[in-house]
Amino acid sequence: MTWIGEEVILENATLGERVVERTHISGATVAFCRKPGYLRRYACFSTRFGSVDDRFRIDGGSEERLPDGIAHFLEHKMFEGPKEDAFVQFSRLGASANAFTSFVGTTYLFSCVDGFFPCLDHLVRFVQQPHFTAENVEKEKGIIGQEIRMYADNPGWRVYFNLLAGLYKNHPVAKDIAGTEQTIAGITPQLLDRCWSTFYHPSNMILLAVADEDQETFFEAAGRLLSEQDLGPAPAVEKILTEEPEGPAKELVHQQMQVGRSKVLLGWKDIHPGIQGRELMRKELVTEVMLECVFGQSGPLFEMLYRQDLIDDSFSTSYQIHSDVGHSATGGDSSDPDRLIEVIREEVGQIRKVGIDPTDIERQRRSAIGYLLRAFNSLEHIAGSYCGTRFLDGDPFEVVDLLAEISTKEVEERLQEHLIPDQLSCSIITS
Amino acid sequence: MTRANSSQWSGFETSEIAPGASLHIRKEARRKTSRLRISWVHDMGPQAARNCLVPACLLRGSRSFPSLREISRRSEELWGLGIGGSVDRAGQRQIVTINAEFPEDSRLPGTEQVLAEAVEFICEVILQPHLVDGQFAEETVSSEMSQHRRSIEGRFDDKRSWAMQRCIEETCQNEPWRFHEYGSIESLEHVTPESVTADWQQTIESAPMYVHFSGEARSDSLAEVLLPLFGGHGQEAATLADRYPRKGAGEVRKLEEHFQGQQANLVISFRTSTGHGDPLHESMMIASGVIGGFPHSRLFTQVREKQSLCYSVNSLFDGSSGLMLVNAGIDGDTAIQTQESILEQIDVVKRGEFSDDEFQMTLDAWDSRLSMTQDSPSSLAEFDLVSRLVGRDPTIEGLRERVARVTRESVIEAAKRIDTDLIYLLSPEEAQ
Repeated sequence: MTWIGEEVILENATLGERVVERTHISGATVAFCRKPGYLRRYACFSTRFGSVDDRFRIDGGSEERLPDGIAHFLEHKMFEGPKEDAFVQFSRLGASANAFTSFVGTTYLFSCVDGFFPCLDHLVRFVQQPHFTAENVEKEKGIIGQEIRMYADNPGWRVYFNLLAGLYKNHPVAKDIAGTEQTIAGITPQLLDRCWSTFYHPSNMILLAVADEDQETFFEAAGRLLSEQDLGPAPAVEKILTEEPEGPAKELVHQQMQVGRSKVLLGWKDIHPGIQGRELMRKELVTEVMLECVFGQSGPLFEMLYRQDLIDDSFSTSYQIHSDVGHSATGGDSSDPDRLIEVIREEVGQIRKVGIDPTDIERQRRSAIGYLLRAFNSLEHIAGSYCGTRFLDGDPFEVVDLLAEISTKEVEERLQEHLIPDQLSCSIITS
Repeated sequence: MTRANSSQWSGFETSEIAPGASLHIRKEARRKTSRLRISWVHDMGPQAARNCLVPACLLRGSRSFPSLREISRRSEELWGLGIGGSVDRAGQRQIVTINAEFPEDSRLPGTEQVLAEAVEFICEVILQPHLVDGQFAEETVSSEMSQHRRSIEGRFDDKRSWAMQRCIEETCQNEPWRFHEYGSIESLEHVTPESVTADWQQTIESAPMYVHFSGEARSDSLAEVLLPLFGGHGQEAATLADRYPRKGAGEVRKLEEHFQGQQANLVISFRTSTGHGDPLHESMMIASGVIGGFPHSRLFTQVREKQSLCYSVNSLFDGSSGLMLVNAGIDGDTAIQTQESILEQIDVVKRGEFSDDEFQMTLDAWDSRLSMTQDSPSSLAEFDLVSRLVGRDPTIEGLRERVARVTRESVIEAAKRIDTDLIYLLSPEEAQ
């Protein structure tokens, strides 16, 4: 027996996409999306272990605390093999490979034109065969140290993480994904091994292919590969969440660094423990539509700020949601960050009095369909959307139905509830 | 509409519409959206910054949609039509572009259609901008000048890209490769509504113009739908400057500059005396790939992984200027060690001491990269256009075949042409 439970089919006629999902006996979620006619094939192997996972216990045991940046450090070290780097074998197979760590997960991926199945073999095997030594762990600290410094010199990155530090008092989402040179200094092979055996069990992972390949050949290969190693029963891992109080940690975080253009972000914070799946996705979508109505280029604010020379076309708005917290982030480059914050605060107050025009919602609905059609051309977008929503127990295609369902009243209520002065924090970078 | 010729892999059906104006249509049934790219080509030079203002002012309002907000609203009504301006370079040419993407009619609900209205809208944006007394509005021009000035100043915020550009400027002090596609702040000083209006008219009337469309193209009359985009083009196209000769390296020079930050950026420029059309061009691409550019390349496996000197390290070969640039983000204290290590890796390739495996992986990686381009209409359009501008065969298949014919011996021969020109370091002030 290779598969357990019922096969799940996720599909959407508007987007013209279909994902078939099965659960491997090891507990791994395995999914396939066929993209007819595409020469490029893409696959990823993702674990629900990201930068926010800083505390856990197993089988009700004592709490284990992890240093900041360890999920990202582990991502780097997984490529190390006993004979050669995993990248080299991908190159030998004519594929290009990469990996990234987010707040909630770590993803290993490759894309290729030919030789999809040998690449898939290599992907699953290298992620399931760690090779940590004292020497290679120490060596990595120098490399990641340079990566941390590269981001420290990137004002766009700094203004965002400073905003998170301003918004959150306790929550680990505020910490830099790569940690700091100090927090990674104490990482050892034993600690990496502990994280790998805890969080890289197949039951915590998703293997996905987006490719013009035969579906059953893929499932047969994936089933075989995941059965190669018996990693035992899934550990009973309890991730310990950090309770986050209402209200921002700081009203303003201001960093000085040498920049060509000053940067500014305004963020509003949400606390919503316990919501998941469709409810979480609905909240995300309603917030995004609301933010677009208020701050988007077709809204009342953008052109006014642009004409006053307070913003440029880098001005944007987004919403980032997690299972327990969320925040919006609005801003970009500005000639006068203080004035921009002042004007936005005033104008948002006015917009809350006037409310949202129902015709704006209709236009946003239409526009969002076009955006989704564009986005689902991309193999990476399909994979990111699938893994991101599955990590939150959602359905990646449900967004289309939700778009049709959401009402002006709902968007209006979200405006009144979210964009409130008490939840606002600002981040500024100037020379 | 005169002669048509079709290229094999990039798959564009090309029609010469007028002297210096061509339409390139590619049928693409796999995707959910159509892409349209309208590009005008200029010589790189002091005019570059002024050329950037043209698409910026066009996107501020048209005759029927005379403000930024109304342009945005119309885009949203047209099923979220994405429209934007961009400025790029291809060797000594500057490319000014309006890009658009919108859903295929077949993907829309019911009997909804968008193609014809989308093209009509884009046509109006290009050819019928919102003018006041026959000129772009004073407020629009001054606001876009100010925006563009800040874009130029903002280039500093990407340290790696800034360091690379500074290295090129210093390496090629009197060559056209030194210009950045955004141009300089000084050249914005004399811009007026009258001058931007004249620049717009001159651009649409006589700058060489390329329109690339990729989409389902179900309608037989697609070319007719797109033809109005050429409505402003006259019967005489501007002549672009002759190709500038590629230079060799002189004495090795060193330059260090400082900034307030944490990580140093080392950039080394090399002259290869090799470019498009040279029999060793593809061999130089592979030589550069064996040196850096891929995770199996020597800079990654030796300088990063073995010596732990950096996180990002790369090499890049430009067939127009014949320059190869190597860059690394490093600790300022290790600059000499990193520089020596980089030069050693290049010497290894010159001596032919790279493995057959490294050579074959680089061939395969390039072949795979080129093949993947065929899934991306925007990359295909860019490949096609840039090829035409730099004198390269505009078929990806042709380039793949030439890459496949590269031998170890020719890589060594190409690598021997690599001469160090400038060693540039952008380092944190603390390291002084």
